[in-house]
Amino acid sequence: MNLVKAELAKSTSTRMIWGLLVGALGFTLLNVVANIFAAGQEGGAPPLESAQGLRNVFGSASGATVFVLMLGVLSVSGEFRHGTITTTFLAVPGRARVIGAKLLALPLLSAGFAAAAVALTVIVALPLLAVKDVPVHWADAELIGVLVGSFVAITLYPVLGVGFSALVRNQVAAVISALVWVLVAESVLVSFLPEVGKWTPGGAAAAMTRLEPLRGGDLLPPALGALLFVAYGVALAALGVRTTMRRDIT
Amino acid sequence: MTAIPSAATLDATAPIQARSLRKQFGAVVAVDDLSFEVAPGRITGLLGPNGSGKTTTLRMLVGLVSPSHGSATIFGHPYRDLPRPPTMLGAALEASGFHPGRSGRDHLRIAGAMAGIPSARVDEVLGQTGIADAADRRVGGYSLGMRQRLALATALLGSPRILLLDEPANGLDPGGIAWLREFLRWFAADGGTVLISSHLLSEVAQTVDDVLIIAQGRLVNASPLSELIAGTEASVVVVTPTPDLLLSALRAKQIVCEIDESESTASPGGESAIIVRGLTAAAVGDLAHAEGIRLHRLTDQKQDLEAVFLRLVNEQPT
Repeated sequence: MNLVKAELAKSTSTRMIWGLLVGALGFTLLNVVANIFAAGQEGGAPPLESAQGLRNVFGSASGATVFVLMLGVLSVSGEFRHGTITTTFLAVPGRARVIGAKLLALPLLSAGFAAAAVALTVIVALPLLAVKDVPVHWADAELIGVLVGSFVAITLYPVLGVGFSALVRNQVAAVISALVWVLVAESVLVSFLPEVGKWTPGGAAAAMTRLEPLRGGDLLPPALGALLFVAYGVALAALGVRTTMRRDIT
Repeated sequence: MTAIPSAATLDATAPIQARSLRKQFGAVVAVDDLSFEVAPGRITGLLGPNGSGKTTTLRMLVGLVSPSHGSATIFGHPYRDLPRPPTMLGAALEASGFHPGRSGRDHLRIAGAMAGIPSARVDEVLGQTGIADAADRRVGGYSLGMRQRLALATALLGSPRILLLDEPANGLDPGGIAWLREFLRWFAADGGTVLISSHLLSEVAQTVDDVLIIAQGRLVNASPLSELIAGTEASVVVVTPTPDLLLSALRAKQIVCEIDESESTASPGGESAIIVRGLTAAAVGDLAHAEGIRLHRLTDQKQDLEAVFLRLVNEQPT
């Protein structure tokens, strides 16, 4: 697949990728430490001795999702920002094919982010938990499931970014509105309508990571969560291809 | 969906055709009823003042901008229907469409990969355009001239038979312009088709064979450059004390001539100035001598090409 290879080369040929990787790993590290030391505090997260407490620690890598979301957003909006979209659409006039290639290429790239963030989580969490004399009940707490879920969620997250940016091609608008959605708007929405919580993109991601859902409530089965999440990204991309991506490139 | 045309259905005699192209952006009509053809083996200049619709026209030819009306074809097919279009037509539409943080080599590698062009071509076009030494530097540090060369290198990647270049001389130094001219001459002599835009006729007068001039989105001239030049040089100003005799002698031979009012009023002693078109100064002098008409002054009026260009873009059809 020439196009997928070209998309990988686009994302890896600038420094942005390293900035996002450093951000993703730094944030993961911060999350692990914070989750371990904040656990069991009054009014805070469940204690480390509980299954959910341990799951929160081992799911720390899921904080990296916001960085790979940006990776996806920038892969489309960056082309409009810098005008490289002209070269891209000259080479591949089928605009849907370009977006399709990004939908395939970006998860390949973010799988690397996911592996690094999940590995970092384990490497940092185990010694810290040992220092705190917290036994790690791998099987009881289904920790492998949390790690695999985090890996899958991080891997798939740029799909949402690509889809969203296919609809909102202005870089500043796309970055800001995507961040506002995942960091603020989604939790506000769920606080008013708890029953939709498991159906939002964040809820679908939580189904994969098996972390505590926003404001309580239940979660979809992990596989269904992954499917729903990808469906969100693909649906946004399809909508973008039919609307924004048809516009003139001037 | 139309089927992808095979090589057999490509019409090599019609590299670029525009039919009744019109583009409206909101209330602004950028291009209006524009029809033209570009011939193979020649360099065609698409000329017009800034904002006349050149860039919009070029972008409609390659499907980046969709026409409000009309159509454009490359070898008889819409650009998007061509098999691997960069191997048919190479376009350099701007010197700014690069990611500043990416090296020139990576830009070409990516552009080539998208079109399925072997990566060996990257080094070839880098060498061809003279930017091999800068290939591994970030484009953000390139001069405008180097960006122009990188844009041309991108257009050449697919070894196309058509080149579409938007203001390719912008930012090039005189040496670069001479090099570009040589290169395009060679490309066209080899049977290739070249369409370049410019807002200065004088800039491309030494390069182009054919001239398309647009003003406010409409075609005001489509002719070989030689015809434009012929139109400029064949005007002679004659000052004579007997204008009536000269006028009737000229008109008897079906030669276009008229009293030049501005010159006449300035001339003392009842002299009049007459503008004669289609004859050289020598021919007018010989004719006057044969008819026994006195001449006081005889001047070849070489209206320069730029003046012709300005006249054409200012007096457009309504």
